[in-house]
Amino acid sequence: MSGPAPMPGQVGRRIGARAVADLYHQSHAADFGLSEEEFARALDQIASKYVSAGTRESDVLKFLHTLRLEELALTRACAAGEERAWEIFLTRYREKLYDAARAITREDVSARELADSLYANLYGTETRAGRRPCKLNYYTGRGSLEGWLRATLAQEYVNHYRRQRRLVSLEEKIEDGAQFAAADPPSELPPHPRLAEATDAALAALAPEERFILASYHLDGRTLAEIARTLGVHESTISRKLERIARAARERITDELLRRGMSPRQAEEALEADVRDVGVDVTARLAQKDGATAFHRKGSE
Amino acid sequence: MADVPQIVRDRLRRPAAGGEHPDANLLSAFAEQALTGPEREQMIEHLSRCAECREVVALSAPEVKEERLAAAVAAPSPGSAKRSWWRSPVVHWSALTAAALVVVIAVGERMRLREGQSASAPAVASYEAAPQSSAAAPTAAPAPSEPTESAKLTKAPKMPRRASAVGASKSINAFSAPGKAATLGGAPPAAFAQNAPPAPPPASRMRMKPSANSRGDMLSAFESRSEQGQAPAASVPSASETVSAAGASPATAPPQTAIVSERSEQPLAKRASLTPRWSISDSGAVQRSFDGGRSWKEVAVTDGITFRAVAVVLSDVWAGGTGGELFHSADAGEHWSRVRVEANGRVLSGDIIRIDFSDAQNGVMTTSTGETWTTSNAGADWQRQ
Repeated sequence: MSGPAPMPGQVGRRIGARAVADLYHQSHAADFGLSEEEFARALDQIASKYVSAGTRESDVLKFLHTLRLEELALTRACAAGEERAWEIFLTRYREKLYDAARAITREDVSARELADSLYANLYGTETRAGRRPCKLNYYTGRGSLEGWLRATLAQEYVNHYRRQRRLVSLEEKIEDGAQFAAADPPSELPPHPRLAEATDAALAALAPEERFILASYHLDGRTLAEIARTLGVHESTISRKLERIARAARERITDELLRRGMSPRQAEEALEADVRDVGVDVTARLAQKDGATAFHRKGSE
Repeated sequence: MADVPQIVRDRLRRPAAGGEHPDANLLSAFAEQALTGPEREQMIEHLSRCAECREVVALSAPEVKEERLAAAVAAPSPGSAKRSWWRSPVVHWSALTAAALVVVIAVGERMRLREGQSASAPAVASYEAAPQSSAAAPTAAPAPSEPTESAKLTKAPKMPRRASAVGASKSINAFSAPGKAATLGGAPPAAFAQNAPPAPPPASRMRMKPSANSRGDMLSAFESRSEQGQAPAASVPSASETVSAAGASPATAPPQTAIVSERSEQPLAKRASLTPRWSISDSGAVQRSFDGGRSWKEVAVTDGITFRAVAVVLSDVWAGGTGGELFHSADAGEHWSRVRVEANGRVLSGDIIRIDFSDAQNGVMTTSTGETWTTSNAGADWQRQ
């Protein structure tokens, strides 16, 4: 690229202009029509997001080398409206995006709606405060661009699904005359305070990964293979861990109940009684509880 | 699998108190095992308490699609018994018995058909008449001493033949990219700044049927071609699945017609699934899919080149990439040869970023340096525009 030398940005000052130039070269950003200055600005933004101020120069450089530089350059060039970049982006990702949407929605019409809504954001067709933000600017190169697109699609889908579910639920209730119905009785009795405390203590003693496995399997209904793939381990490892975690959790709860003054028999009965009273639709509760608000911040991305 | 008390589910289910959700960058990096150790720990800590993010991670996983479908039916739903009725041994054995019965009937039917083919002529008539008869399979069918011509052809694998059906081309990157828009902050290129949803249908689909989308387009295209008497899909990788060659007439090649007749009995969806789709992977490799894009497999073309564009015309595949390297396969990607692009001593410069073939003979390439090269004789000669 000819022209004036790029201004040394934050990253340039920390790792040196030469290192930035090397990264620029590696990214093939010039092929997409992205200048070195624009590329350095993107690196600045990403480094400020993920790297703390006191990080050593070598570590910053090491981190930047872990980024998907070419895909990062491609997205920034697309966001800048570069024709060649869009051409390449469409060649590489258009079909994948529709395929991913179809895999998520399992239905063609919804998939097209989902993918189109994301495309609208990617192209920046909406005007906000006089600007047309392009969602591709949010890609930081931490994972693959394809993975980011899939995750973004999934977020959109979850948001949309939950919004729609809330609306449909309300409409159905009105159609069913729910507004004239008596107030719903409490869906369940609160758990015994000592049992709840003991369970919370037992769960708090679990490692995050153990809680994740437990929740994925027992709440979300994921298969062992899915959980294993997410964590990058073998399926049999998850199977063994689940057995161990379930057994340990039960023992820990029993211990906690004993510490709280229950006899062994009372503790066992408390656990068994709770198991018998499974009149709660966990899936429904899981699906409806605070879903929309939980994703509110994500939607602002 | 050991169950947990209901109280454990209830307490696990409680939403996490506040806190930011990880963005799509971190979620996808987590799924790809690309986070640092501390980041990964933070992510798992969050996921262990956030059902929504767990759902996003699960939905965006690339390879669990089929499992998810099964899981939706088969996985133990929260709060329900772990062993469903259909998991009982009775159902399992019933299913196995039914499957075995189907296999026995299918084998018997096939043997009966073979017997009918060898005993009567012409082969086409006997084959087509056979399915109309009773489904009762003979218990034993003596093998013919010499297989008929029809049987030989049915068994013998055939490589797909090239056909020059104009208009049946399929180019991955045929869509016209947007022009550079002189608008604010990364505004969309003009071609996309429309009121209508900006996403265009994939190029391959546009070529087949511009107004439609999805699998239905492919089926429509197949139906359309079948009506015109053309081969449904020439770029079929598996030799045993080869359909026919364009132009083979029943009068001149009756045995082949018999095969076509057999194949035409297959569901259109199956034939559509045999047509590979081509694209370029994230890492710049040529890849193809035989299941409508649900899974992709890289195709070994050559080492050391990042591919940027691929175009397909029936069984002809063209792939170009960095350094102006162009490769051609005439057999649906089984074998590749390097194509040197030059004219009057001048070679192509830059990377090949786009390839378009309107038919097997006529193609256009664009490079990253803005050059446009054309051919009108299937890549034997090139002209720079």
